[in-house]
Amino acid sequence: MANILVCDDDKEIVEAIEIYLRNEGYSIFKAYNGEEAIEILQKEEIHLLIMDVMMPKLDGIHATVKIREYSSIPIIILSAKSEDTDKILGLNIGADDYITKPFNPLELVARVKSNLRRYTKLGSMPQESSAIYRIGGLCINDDTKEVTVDEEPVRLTPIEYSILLLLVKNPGRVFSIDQIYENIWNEEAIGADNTVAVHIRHIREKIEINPKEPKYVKVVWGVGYKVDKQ
Amino acid sequence: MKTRKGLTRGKSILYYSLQQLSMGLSAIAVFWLIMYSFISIKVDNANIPTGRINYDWSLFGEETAFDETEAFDYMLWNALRDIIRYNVAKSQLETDGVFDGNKVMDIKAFVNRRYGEKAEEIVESEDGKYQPEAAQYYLQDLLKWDKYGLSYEVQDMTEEEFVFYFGSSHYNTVDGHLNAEQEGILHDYLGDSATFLLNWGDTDADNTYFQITNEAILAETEEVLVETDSSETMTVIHVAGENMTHEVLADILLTDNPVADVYIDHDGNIRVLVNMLAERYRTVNNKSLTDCVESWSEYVTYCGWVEQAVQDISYNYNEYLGFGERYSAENTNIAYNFEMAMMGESVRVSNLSSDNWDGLDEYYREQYGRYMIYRPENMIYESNMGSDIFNEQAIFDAFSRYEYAYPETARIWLGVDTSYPLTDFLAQADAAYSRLHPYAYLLLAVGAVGLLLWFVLFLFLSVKTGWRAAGRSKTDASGAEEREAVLVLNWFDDIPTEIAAGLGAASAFFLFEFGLWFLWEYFRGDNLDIICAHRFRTACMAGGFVLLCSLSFCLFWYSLLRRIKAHTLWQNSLFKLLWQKLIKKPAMALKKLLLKLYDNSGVFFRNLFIMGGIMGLNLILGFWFCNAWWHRSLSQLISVFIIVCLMDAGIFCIWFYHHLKRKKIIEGIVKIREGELGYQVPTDDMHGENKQLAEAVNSIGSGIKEAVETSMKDERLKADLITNVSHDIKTPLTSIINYVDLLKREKIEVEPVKGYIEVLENKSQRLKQLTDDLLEASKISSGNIILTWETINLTELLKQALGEFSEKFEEKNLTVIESFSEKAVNIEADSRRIWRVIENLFNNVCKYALPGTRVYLDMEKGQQDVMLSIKNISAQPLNIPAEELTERFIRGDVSRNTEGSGLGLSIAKNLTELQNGKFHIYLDGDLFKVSLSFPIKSF
Repeated sequence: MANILVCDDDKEIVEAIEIYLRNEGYSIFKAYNGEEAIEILQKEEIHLLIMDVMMPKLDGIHATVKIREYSSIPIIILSAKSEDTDKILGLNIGADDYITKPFNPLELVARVKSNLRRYTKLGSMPQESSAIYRIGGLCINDDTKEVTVDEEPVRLTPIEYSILLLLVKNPGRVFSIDQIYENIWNEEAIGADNTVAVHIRHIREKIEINPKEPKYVKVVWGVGYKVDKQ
Repeated sequence: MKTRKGLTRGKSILYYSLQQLSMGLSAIAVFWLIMYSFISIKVDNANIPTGRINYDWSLFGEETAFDETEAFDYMLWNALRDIIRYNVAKSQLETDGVFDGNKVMDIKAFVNRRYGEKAEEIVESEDGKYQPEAAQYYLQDLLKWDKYGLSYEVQDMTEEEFVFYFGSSHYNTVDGHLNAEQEGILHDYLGDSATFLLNWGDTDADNTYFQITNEAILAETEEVLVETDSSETMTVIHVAGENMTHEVLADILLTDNPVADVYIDHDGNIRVLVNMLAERYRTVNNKSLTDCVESWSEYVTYCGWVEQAVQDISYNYNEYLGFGERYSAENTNIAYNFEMAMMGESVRVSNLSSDNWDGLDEYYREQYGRYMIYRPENMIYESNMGSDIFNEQAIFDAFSRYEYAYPETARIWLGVDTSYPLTDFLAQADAAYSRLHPYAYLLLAVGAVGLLLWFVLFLFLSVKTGWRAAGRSKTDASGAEEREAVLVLNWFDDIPTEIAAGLGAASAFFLFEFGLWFLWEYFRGDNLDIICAHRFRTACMAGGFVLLCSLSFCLFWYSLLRRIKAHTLWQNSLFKLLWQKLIKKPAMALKKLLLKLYDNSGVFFRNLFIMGGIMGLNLILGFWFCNAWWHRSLSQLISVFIIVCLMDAGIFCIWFYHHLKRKKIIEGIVKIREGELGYQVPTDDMHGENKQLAEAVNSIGSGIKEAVETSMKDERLKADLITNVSHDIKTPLTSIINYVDLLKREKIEVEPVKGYIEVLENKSQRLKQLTDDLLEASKISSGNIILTWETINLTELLKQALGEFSEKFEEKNLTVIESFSEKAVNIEADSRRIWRVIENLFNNVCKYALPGTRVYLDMEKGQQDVMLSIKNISAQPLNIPAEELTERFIRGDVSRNTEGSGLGLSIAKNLTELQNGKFHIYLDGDLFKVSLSFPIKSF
């Protein structure tokens, strides 16, 4: 199994994460500041790094920048800083994911798995037929009507499937509720109730790790829904 | 910003030297050209005043050789004239082609040779009357006479002696006028009855006459009136008779002749002083000059002739010798054959060795590069000269100067051997011309380039001078080394401005004077021969002088520029020192004293200070005016008027100054009012009330500023505190949540423990929610939030929200009654923040609504605004005022045992207001109503 380096100056948090991830079968290395993390990275073969931002000696942001100079392993930043600007900064300097404290342990595990899969299995883009749509880890095979997220199959109802397919086929485009309704039900959206919104919520709950911070199906409040171009 | 780049010391010296060198080089090139553009030929005849002839030529003409230039033609033309003159002299001085010192020269004929005068024949008259001797001398005597000098000596003689020397032959005319002294002498001699009146038309044009009233003389005179013209009448006294002495005397007196004078000695005898020629040589017949004349006036004339003849002969003799040598075949490249009839005899001269005068035309054409043939008797003029200086008319004119010669009898052949086998002036000129002619344009280019370089460097250094590159103080973005320039002055710039200016003027004066002196002393006379011999050295000297001028000019000019750049022109001047010590300092002290008095006095004295001064002055002026009026003194009235005008102007200035400062204070107040709290009215040059007012305004401003700053600092501290605290809470909270979760996974089935764990889990989740909300609320209330404005469709938003909350509502068994139009209603808002508002309100409904009731969601579109309201029935009685619900940490239930942070409504309200919306809560019993209104976005 994969080796994961956990780096946080709070020992209890590191240990809690160790417990969760060991339960999943990963080997854990522990570091308590950025310099230790870099030392371990040079000695051991590490497949994923979970790192706090605010640490003594060398903080997470600078450590990430240094590591990115020679390594392309997935880095998940785990920080109490929850501002948008902090997240944008973290992701821009080379982190692959950003989780805010306090975190849901299940979400952390799911994101670790997702990132490892992307790193180990989904590194290259395979040759695929035109009926397969990929947006990041999300994959829709229109021939078999199968949907997978990070290789994990997801079960969707036909309506949910149609809505997701519509959004994935037009990445970046924002669809309003009425447009989605007219496309899926093929009738005019007069008096359309909140059915579409409910379906979208269901889709999010099924394919997203954290439905409140969706990665694939994004809500543009007051405008509509969209799937980002990767 | 552009960095000023300076020069290093070495570079600036290099550029400076280069500039001076280029000027020197340019000047040398130009002077060199000038030096090789002329030749100075000394004329061997000492009697010619200048002694030399200068020829100059252009090196830039179309000519390719010297013999094509005009200068060549001029030289040849002068040579031709010399040859003509030589031959003229030769004809005068030679007999049968050899110089003849014993040749007899008739003075009268020689002097008047231009008028065709012939030598006098000595004739013995039949009547035995005395015939004068002909004035004829030997040529060598005349030459010697000139050599040893011609002189006069004064002879004092009696009347009788005078007659003996000069005879008493009759005098044809006597005219002239007498001055008072002469009149006196004549009067004494002629007696009291004699009256002389002589006017030359100046007093009375019609009445001009010379009257002699002495009876004795009158009898012997006859008066002849000669009318010359209407305005001037000349009276001619024709005197005839035996008693001539009187008339001679009158003549001497009247002619105002300096050669003789008349006086009366103490014995009463008349004596005559005569300036007589010292006769070093006598005539060929060994006679004196007095023997050759009939009368006194003739003697005077002959003296002049002798003098002129001596000079002319000597001059011609010199020319004869000089030209003879210069144009002899061994000394010149010019060949000539010359034939002319002079003084009745034909002269043939040539410097060719052969004496063959046949076929000369062909000979000259073939033998000489340049030639000229002139034979007027055959109407032949032929020449291959480059310019038109030589032409038939010019040559004719040259001959015509000697009218005693006969140009039409002349024949001339003139040729120049243009290979210049002999070193004569033509050869020298050709050498000078050919020396630089091929390089003329090169030198001109050198001169121009040098001058241009000088000018370019002059501009460059004018800009750069004084700016010295400092050490490596800066490195710009591209990594190139940037040297920041600093202004450096040298010792010369520290000399006071006036002294430096004086030095500059002195050096300019010295150079100018020296230049002029050099020009006068060096470029004149025989120095020209030295210059011609050392042309390059002279050019270098002149170039050096120009370099010196440039050097000294640049020294002062750059210093002036550096002074201007460093602003030391005035700072470093003596005038400034004088001004500061003698005028400014006392004036400032007085001003300070007056202002101190003014500032420290009370309102009464302060006003008295100005107004009292004006009134006092008015009083004095009034008295003065009355006084002036009383005395009718215009000058005093004008003085009073001028002083009144000055005083009014002064009052206006004080008044204007006062209000100018007042305006500054008002501007300061306006600035403080507009929020520029730190603004301070400058009080330095304010006095009296203005100063107090300004200081008061300043202290109010700074007081307000301090208060505002304190409150802003407090607010910021509060916001920071909340941010930091909630952030610090999060880390331990993470551990709590995680370990509670781990405990839960232990699957502890012991009943009370399981319950405890659930409580722990719920409370830790609430704590998490609370922390997030607290952070959000503090951010919003401190305004520490950036909104991204976009167009939001409110209908769409509500549908999306209902979709999100459908299951939560179902859980509580709440029915949503919607009443809003399907049409899009657009507002301007931040998408995520507006969602936060709706989310909080819907969450509020879920938490506090009585389960099983209906929730009303209405949207009404007005003219300007869209109104959104949510109504529900509260599960708990609402026992607090509506306003307090939106305060932080206030919840519908006072007991606070339900979930929620108590911040939801506060956040919703603040966010709504940030997005230009209005947020109201109405409570009516258990009815809870929230209404939002936003301005509609119109397209």
